[in-house]
Amino acid sequence: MQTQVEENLTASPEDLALMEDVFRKNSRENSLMIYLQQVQAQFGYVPPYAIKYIAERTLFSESRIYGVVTFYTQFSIKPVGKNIIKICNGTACHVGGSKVLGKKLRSHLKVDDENPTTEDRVFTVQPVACLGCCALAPAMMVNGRVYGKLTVDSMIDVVESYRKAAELEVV
Amino acid sequence: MYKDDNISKKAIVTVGMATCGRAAGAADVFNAFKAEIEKAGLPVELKATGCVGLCSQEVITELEIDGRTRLTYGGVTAESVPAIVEKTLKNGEVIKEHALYQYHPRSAADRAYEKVPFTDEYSIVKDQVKIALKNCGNIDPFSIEDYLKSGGYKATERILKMTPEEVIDEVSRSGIKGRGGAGFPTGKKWGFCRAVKSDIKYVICNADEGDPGAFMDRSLLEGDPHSVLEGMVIAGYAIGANQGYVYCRAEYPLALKTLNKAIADARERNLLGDNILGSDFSFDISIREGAGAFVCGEETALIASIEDQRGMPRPKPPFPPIKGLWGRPTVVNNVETLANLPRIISDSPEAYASIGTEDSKGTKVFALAGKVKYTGLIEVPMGMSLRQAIFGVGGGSLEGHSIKAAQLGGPSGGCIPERMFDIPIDYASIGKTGAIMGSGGMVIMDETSCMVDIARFFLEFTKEESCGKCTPCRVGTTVMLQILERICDGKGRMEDLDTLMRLAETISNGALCGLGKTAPNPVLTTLRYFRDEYEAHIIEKRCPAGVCKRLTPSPCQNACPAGIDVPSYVALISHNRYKEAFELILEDNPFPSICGRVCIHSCESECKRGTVDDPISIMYLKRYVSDLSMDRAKRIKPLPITREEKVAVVGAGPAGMTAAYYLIQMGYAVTVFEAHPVVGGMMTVGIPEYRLPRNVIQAEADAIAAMGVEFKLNTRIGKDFSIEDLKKQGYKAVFLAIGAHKGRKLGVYGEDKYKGCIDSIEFLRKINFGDKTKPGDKVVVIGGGNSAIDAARTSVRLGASEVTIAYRRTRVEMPAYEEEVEAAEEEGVKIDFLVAPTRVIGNGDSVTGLECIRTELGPPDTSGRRRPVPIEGSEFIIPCDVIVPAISQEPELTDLVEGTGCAVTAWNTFEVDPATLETSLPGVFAGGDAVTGPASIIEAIAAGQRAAASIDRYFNGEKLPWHFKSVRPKRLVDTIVVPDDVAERLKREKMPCLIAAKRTGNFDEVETGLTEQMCVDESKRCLRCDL
Repeated sequence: MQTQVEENLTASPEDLALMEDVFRKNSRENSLMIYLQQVQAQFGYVPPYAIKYIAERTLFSESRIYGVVTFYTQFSIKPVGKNIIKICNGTACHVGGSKVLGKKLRSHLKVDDENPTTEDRVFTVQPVACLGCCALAPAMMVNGRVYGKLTVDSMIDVVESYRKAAELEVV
Repeated sequence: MYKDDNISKKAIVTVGMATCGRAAGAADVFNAFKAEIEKAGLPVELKATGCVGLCSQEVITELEIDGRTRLTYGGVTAESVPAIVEKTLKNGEVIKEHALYQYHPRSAADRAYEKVPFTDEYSIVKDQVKIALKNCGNIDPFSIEDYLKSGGYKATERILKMTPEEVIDEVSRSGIKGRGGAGFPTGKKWGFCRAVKSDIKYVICNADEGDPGAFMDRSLLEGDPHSVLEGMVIAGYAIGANQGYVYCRAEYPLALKTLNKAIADARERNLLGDNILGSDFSFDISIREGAGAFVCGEETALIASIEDQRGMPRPKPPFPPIKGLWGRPTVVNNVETLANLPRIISDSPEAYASIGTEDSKGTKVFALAGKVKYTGLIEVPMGMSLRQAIFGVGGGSLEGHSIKAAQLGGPSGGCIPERMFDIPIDYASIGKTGAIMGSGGMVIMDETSCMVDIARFFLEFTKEESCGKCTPCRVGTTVMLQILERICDGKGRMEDLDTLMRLAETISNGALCGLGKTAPNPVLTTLRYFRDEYEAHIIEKRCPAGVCKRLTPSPCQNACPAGIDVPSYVALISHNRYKEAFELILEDNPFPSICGRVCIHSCESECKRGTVDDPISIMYLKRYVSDLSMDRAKRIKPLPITREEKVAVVGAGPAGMTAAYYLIQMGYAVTVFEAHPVVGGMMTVGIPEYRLPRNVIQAEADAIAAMGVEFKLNTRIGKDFSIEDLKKQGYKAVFLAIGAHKGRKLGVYGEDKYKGCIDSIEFLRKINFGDKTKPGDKVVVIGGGNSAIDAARTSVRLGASEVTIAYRRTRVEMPAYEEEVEAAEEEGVKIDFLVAPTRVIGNGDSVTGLECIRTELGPPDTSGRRRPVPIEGSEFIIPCDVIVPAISQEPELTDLVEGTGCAVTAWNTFEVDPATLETSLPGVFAGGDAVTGPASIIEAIAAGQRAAASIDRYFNGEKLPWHFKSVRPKRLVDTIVVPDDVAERLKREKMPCLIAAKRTGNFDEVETGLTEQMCVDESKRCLRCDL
């Protein structure tokens, strides 16, 4: 059974510096959504200390921020993997067989809806309703890059190429 | 395309680098061009553009060489770039396999390319009208220079000299309606907002395109972001706002990039920000990203999101133009609406209003996707028919399956069935169908899509995306989804359909916002137009499209009308267990040797192996094991009669004899009445001996007689006895399976006048009953089905010197099996395509010729096939002495039904309850061709199965219809291990046949059958989809 990825409960000095940066760059707009989106982009998720940090520096309460974070699917309160894979579930992709692809991907990476991140934190599989690339159905997005006209084989090839890239980086 | 004036170049090459292009490899193509152009040292400017819309032809590259017309290439890969640079750029030669179309010359100096269609000839492009998409594919989306050169920001210059009221008036006169889906008149909305007094107002661009299946806005933002920004400036000026927001979903990273660059560039040129172009109008734009909530496409939820709230909608009124973002008057407009505005202002509102219909002006961009050939972005004038958009522009069906429906409007929309495709595309007409125009998503579905599954899919989506605020939506969508899932799982009940309708009404009326209100639409439209699919799922526990996994055994078994367990018998053959395979088939089909020769084999059309190489030869395998036991009649003993009711079956065809076969096994005494002197029905009358030998039919009929079924030949209903008589004789139930033996008339002058004009069924019956006299010397058969081929090949064998088939469409549309058509041509039959009969010519009482007219194929008719249109003045005469019309048949009902009150359909067939096969007369059932019109043997066998079960339940006083049980799998045969090297060399074998020379003048069976080894090898190719 896969273990839950650890959550950071306390911020390291580097994390705090990143938060400061986010604030400095976006204080003109002073929009909670923008802060959260920047945090999500930087950290890969919205850590509990980030919510605290924003609450302390703005007029938004922690409960209000938590309400916003849990409403939108883009925000994750659990840490995510290095590579975010989104298999498109739009109409054209559905008609093109996206359900099978989703199942096969999740079984290949040994993840499910409860625990969408692989044990080695290399991949997270997230749902997305539609990528808007319907002419290339079935499609998926990995870290913002779209791959279309997928078959089970081509999808696994793409995913494994990211794993290879991750391995090379570590070395 | 726009050249960079600072660089003197002789040519421009563009590569479509929007998201779809990139996914197809455009970045590699771009880099390849860069390298090759540098290497060759050519004076060529290389640019990246946005989406051209031809997604099915990616990667798109356009070449504009000095002195030549602009040329569009498709299917470009990095590997093909060197050849393009060498041949086309350097030498001006066209590469055929890439050439899609060319533009008309801009000046007399531009030389066109040979044999390349122009934009008004190329099917995908010629009927499109690009207004919103005008610049997409023509400009570099990251270059404000290009936008300015294309006439950009002229509208801004113009409005600064007008009053805001004048601007609103022009927009109203153009007639443009909101392109986000609701279609509210844009000028009117602006008018409401203008009228409110407030220092602070807002313009919001709704770029949260969340409809699955829609990507129009993405392409606009990625390809021509300035047009959207300029639209916002115009809106801001009109309503009196100084701040705008673009709310763009985060799933569109490239669009966010182009927008950010465009805003920065526009600010730099004083086209955004303070005092635009020196006027006292200031307007600036900020971007807000969506965060993955579909509901934020609804304007009040979108506003809530910008306000840093959870994206939950608010009650309307107050409407945003009165009270919106932060309580201020706010206009929310869709991307496509905004992109049209600069064109409307710089051209004229009247020009825009001149396109489209009374109700809907201008054009609409659609994202055409799904099971259609040319998927992509299309912009068509309002008023074009759906059919034209799908079949004309979209190219029709993708894999040759027939198109069933078009889904418009995403999860708020509905499915429009194919028979309604002639409606014009406008808000009113589409609304009348129960669907909505929507933002432009158009997903095409064919017969392999299950409409119940589609409804379930959309409900799954809306339930997930429901914000949860109001109960009708939050709970309603969940309950509707649960019901649909039960139906797809085989646990549906007929009451569920009523529940769904009631829930739909409650949810539409009670929901707070558009998401909830329209969530039931997909269910409502599919129920309205595809109720039969729902009923099949509920009553028969069957998914006709073969999609719902719990209801679909394997594609082959699902496709077989009689539900034969195909994978199991194929697997048994691979284990050399032929007798067991035969007995398995016999459970569901009493005529295996016949079907093994002449079945329509829908199983093979659905065989998954067929998507890899060739389908399994299921029919030939059936023939092999069945022929081994063809003589079984002598080993069969009569079955005991355990029931007191006796049943009369009228018609000893496949439907009738199958019903008898099952009824006798249930213990009922059965008598089969047959008008002809021989049994077999259409199998004997219509199918020639060289396809189906007489002894085969006799052997299988004997096997049924041996079980104890009584046959009374030469006894015709309506002449020798009536239904009443049967009742009087004590038969408690009657099954009418009289088939369809009366040929349809051609409807041409002379067909009843002359002796040599014989309907194909009559023609074949005479011959199949033993009369082998030569019919004539020159025979013309009219029609394209198997009957026509049978008549033709039979005439050859009887010695006719010239046999011609005249068919009014082309080979592609011919319903006859390909093998039959090929065999006919091998035997010397000539087939004349695109020919229709007009008159029979004769002398005395003999036929001397057939006057025909040549036809061409026009637009498709209701059957989906293109209608043949006669070509004026192209009449000609085929000299002949025998004419055999083989166009269709109907049952001979009149004598039978007169005075009985039995209900008959408009096509002269019996009207029956489809689940029970009962006619309007109690205890009288009907099935087979007599109900469906000419169909197939296996469908008749399935009708016989159903009739027997119905009659049994009728006698037991059980309620009709019954609910089938989903029994799968019934059995599991072990797999067989096939070593890789063996698997690789196994290919579908061709059926051994008599050579053409050996077939002349005789009626010997042409197909001689696969050998044992061929069968075992063939069975090993099966992929065992049942496991």
